[in-house]
Amino acid sequence: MLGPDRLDHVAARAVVPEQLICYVRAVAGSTPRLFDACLGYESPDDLVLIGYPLHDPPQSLFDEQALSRSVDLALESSRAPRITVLAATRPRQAPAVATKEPPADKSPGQSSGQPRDAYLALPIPAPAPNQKLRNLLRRAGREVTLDQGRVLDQEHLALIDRYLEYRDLEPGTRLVFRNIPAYVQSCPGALVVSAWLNRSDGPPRLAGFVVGDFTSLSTAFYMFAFRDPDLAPPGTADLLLHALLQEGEKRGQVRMNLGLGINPAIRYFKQKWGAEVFLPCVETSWERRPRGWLSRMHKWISGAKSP
Amino acid sequence: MPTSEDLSPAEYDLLLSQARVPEHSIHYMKTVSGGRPFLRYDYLFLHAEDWLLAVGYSIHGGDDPPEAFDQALQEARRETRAVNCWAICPELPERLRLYRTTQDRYYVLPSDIKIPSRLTRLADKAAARLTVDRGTAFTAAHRRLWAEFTGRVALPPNVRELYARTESALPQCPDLFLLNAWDDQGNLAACLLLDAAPRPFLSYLLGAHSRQTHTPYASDLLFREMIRIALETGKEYLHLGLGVNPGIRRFKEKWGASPATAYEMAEWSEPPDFRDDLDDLVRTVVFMPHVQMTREQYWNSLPPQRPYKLIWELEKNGRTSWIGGTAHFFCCSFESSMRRLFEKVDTVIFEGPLDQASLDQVARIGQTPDQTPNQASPRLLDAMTEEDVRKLERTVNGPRGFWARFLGTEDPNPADVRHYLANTRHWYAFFSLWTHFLRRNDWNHSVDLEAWHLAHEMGKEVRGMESIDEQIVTLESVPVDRIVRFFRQCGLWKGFIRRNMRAYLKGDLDAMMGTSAEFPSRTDLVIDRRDALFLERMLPRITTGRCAVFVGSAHMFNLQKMLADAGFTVRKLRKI
Repeated sequence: MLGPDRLDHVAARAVVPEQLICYVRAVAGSTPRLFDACLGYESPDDLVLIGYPLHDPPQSLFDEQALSRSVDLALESSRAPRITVLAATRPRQAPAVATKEPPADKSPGQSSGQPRDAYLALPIPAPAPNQKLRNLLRRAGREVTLDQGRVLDQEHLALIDRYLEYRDLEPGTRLVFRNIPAYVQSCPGALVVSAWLNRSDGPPRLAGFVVGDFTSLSTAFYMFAFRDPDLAPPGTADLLLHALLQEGEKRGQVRMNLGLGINPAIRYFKQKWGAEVFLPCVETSWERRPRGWLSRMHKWISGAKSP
Repeated sequence: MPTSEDLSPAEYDLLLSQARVPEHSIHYMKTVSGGRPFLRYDYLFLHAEDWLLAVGYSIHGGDDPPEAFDQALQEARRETRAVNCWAICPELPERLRLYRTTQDRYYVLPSDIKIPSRLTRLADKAAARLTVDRGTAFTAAHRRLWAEFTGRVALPPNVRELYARTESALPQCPDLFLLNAWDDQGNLAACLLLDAAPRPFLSYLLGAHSRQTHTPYASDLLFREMIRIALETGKEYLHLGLGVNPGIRRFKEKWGASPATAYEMAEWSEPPDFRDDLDDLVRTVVFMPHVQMTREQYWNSLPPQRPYKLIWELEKNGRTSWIGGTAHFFCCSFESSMRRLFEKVDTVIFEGPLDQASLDQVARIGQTPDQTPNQASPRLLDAMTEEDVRKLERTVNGPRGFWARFLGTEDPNPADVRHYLANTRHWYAFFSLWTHFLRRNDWNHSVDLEAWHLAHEMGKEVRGMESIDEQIVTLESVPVDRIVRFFRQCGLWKGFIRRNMRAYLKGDLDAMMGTSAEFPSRTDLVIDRRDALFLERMLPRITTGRCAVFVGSAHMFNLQKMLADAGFTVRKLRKI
């Protein structure tokens, strides 16, 4: 007897970042709930269903029947006017023309605005880096010092600000970035690895940092990465990813989910490390039509009751 | 009515020494449930937010009559106002039988059991290939074994949840440990999670064995080791948990375990508000002025009551306090919620003094602008155009003229907008005109004033964190241009207060701030710089516990984190 289900068992089996309950709650504030085998997040206006089924015992993440059952249940039990499904395939319930706006609580690292992409992953231990990568790691390793922690200080926040300043991002994505400090602080599985530039003429300065998540029993997550382009020596981002991979190995995870491909540059960075497609990701969003006068009446009554 | 405070050290000790079921292992239960334990009569309860767990096994043993447990349960439920409830007990009270989800028996094994020779042989075989040790570190090998095992075996969600929480529970429960069987390659072949906290018994909580690095009879070896540890540490018996299913029962029985205490579990939801509302009504009647009224007059006299939801519970070292976000002006009363809260506290702290003399002093200062050359108070009128002023007058005072009088919508006591803009300090003009607008829209209440008076009425120690002088400095720092900007946006005020009201009633801090980012007094100085001062001044009281603090809602953004940094467990409550 444990009390309310905090869904830690879902996070323990997470294979995609959206199944990390603590993370999504911290950055988006929506309420998690299981719809049969799939996890969903509800807010008054949106339901986001993470359509990678969590069977007991675990089976295929490509189970279209399980996805379909979950979508049916979600459509039946949630009154959110808009539904978004992230899954390996498009759910059969989606209307022929579905909108493709990314959900607000989607990880920024994966917020591409592209409806089709794929999560890339590396095994842990990762394949041995090639000579060029080893050179980069060595170079960066000479010029920066890494440390680990669970707090973001002013320099970290400044890097996030700088990242946001120069990018045209959706409000939901900006909100996620703004909530990274809250995420890092409130989720014990989150870890920040920072690269500090070694300087003889003053205190070290932050060249970049990454946030990893090690909540899941089997999968580590490469959540966010920031780099100061003016300061970071070549290879800093690689060195930070390498540190996360080592941490995953130390903790016993067997793979690292590197997030979606996003764009050719990011995909190149990940594939340079040997990352391969782990799970397809199709994002399908659609508005739901009220089912009839009874449903409209319910909506009206609910609306009238709200303060 | 006793309150649901944390247990005293003596009660912790009592529970562990009298433990009868694994759920009496109080540190473990507290950790995995996230609830706060308390005793009602002889029964343990855990509670947080809107839920309640009831352990219906009396800590003094005996027959556990369902009626005695039900009495304690009903009291605990009323006191905590829990909606979602779970209970375990040997026999459910009649009213809860409908909600029974599980019926089983606990399996126990005497520590001095003679291990069957066949099992000894199997354990010996495994012992030849494995090294057994015990520890409290959840290593990479444990993570891999847990992942493999939970990825292979069908488990009920609550058991999966226990596996998921093992890593976080281990450092928090001093008597929890892992019994490990390692092969000669350093692989973890099997592992048990055991709890030695209950004095009479050793509790078997979880187990896993590997197929990837399989060693036959590894689990049997660990079982034998577990029995040895129980015997060596003076435990009377081993608690092996429930039978669960025939396979698990067979494994337990193979080792000589037998079904002992009965177990029934119920899960149900209580209607959320009926009793609470009834309690509120009773409170209101008790505290209502003793004057003759008709029933209609009485109902009409009640202000619109709402549950107070912008409240956080603070816990440190077992002591609890609360902190709430207030609104200086609001359209509803929270008296019933406040009374409930104040029954649990000794001290109530506000940003500053709110007694009449202090308020009068602030008003006097606001009405007398500084005339000293070079530091004269700024006049809002100078920063506004004639059109701005007219628009502001229309918003503050509402419609005027023949049709307004005819329709009864004309404000009988309009504010002299130009007087405030020209002859009072800028912050005083702002608050006066804004308040007038709010009053005209039926915002006749003040959350902090209501709390202030109620706290005095209930005999609480009432304190302010800032002096009037400090508050005046803060008010003087409100930028004139922000007030002017806010006045120029007066056409949006109605929508603004509507959204603000909704967010406040929902207890949604983010939404509140989203609706009022441009509110003139929400500046760095007014909010951020005072937060540190507030924290410093509230700290001694909230550390002692039984204290309620009220600050402007905007302060709660920073204070939540600052309080957590100061070592408090900060938990947002759904309502009080």
